[in-house]
Amino acid sequence: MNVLTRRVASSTLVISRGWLLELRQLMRSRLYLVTAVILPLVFASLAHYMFAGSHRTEGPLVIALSAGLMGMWSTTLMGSGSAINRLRFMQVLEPLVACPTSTFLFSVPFALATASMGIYSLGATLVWSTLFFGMPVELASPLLFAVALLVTVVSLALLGLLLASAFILYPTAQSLANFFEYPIWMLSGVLVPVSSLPEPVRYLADVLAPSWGVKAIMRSATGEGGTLPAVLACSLLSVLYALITLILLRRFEWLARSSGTLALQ
Amino acid sequence: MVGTLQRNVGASVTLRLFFAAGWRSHMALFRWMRPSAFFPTVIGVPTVQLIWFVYLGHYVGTHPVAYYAVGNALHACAIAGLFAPAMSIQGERFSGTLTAVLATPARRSVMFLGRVVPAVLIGFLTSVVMLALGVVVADVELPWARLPQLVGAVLVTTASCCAFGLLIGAIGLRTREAILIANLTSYLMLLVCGVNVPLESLPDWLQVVGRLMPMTHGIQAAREVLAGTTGAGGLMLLEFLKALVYLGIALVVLRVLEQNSRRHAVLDEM
Repeated sequence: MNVLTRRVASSTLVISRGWLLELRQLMRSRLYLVTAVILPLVFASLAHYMFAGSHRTEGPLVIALSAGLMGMWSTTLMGSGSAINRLRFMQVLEPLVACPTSTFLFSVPFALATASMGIYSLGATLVWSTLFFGMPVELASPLLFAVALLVTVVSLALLGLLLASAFILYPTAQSLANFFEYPIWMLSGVLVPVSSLPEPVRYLADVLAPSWGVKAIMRSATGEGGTLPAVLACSLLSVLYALITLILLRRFEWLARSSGTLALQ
Repeated sequence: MVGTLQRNVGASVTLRLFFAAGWRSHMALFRWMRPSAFFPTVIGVPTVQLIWFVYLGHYVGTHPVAYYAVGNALHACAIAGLFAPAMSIQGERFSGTLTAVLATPARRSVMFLGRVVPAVLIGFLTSVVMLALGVVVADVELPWARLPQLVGAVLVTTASCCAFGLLIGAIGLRTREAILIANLTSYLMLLVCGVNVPLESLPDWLQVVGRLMPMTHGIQAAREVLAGTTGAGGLMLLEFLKALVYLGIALVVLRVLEQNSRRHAVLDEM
């Protein structure tokens, strides 16, 4: 086995084990589970009641998917944001940063785990909408939908991680992360299409990976064309986010280590 | 032991405990009291929330955009109102100082109510700023003659929200996840308290939940005041009564859970 293969294998092992560990940790918290169960239902109900009586033609499936994606982003943001601060609180951030595994590698599983919980959020929203709002469960292309969903989950996780990278240096940055919940909803085109945004803002939506993920999910669900280009754009932007996060994490980690503030809360 | 400090010293100590200690605890327990965290959290989040719902409301077109602006402006007080009182207890646990605080002979009601006052003040100011934003982005009309009534509606809404926040904080004596409860409550309010959806549009059981939650009657009162119709006074009184009931329940829960936690030695258990 050459060096590259060994590295890929060990990185995959770190990510998969970290993902499983974080999922277990999240599921140990009964209240987190209750929140994860109720929040998507709140979003779904809010969206359906707001659109009731509206002249807009969005079908219940589009409204439900939008609400599910809102829940998915909220869960990711909440989880990714708190993960690094939780490590700091448990006093394991310093040993983790000091170990030979890169900070990026041990941070990725946290973001992936919370984004995976987001899949549940989407599923719960669809079930809730079917049971209580008469939504027909008809996906035009289930296979493309599954691919689009997977790519969107990864894009949300990487966007969450990009924001969370600042937490290494600034413990209060989580307040800033909470700030991004509504703007990301707006720029992703959930509930309201991006085309109705002012033109300069639309350019911003174009560089947002989840925005393409939302397009891919909606198109694959409704049968509209152009799912694969949206999946491709979402994937490319996600890779770009991963690269930026890698650079930022290295820089922030060095700054926090040199100023001795890594463990400070 | 509880309250012996008040029995043996003058009113000045009680007042200091209420105002000075309350304010200092508030400043000490919240990292978001730093400007770098305060503005994104207390002003930034409600601002983007208000803009998002006004934008969504404009797109949906079922109500005038001012409806969403007023609802979300009043809901803005929930950030300080729910999270600050909840953190006034949870923060002590995280800092490892809860045992020391509860070992003091100070009366709990004075100590914890003093911590709620800054939250009411900050929540009130947040809602006022958001109402001003509503004037700019959603053409909310604020007639000068009705401003005192509007101030009253915002104040009782914030007070009610803070009282509920204290109840969440009291529950935080036995769980480390009071902040998650506050978070969930804040989202639930968007649905059931008439912030973005009129109560009448909800199923009966959700209407009951909404009427029992803080904020619902306060928001209705603010809308009545702005529309110039009668009935706002009654709604404000109802919201005020709800605030008193929540406060009473919070103090009872605090007392019961404190005694229970002492008995089982789990005060500082994380």
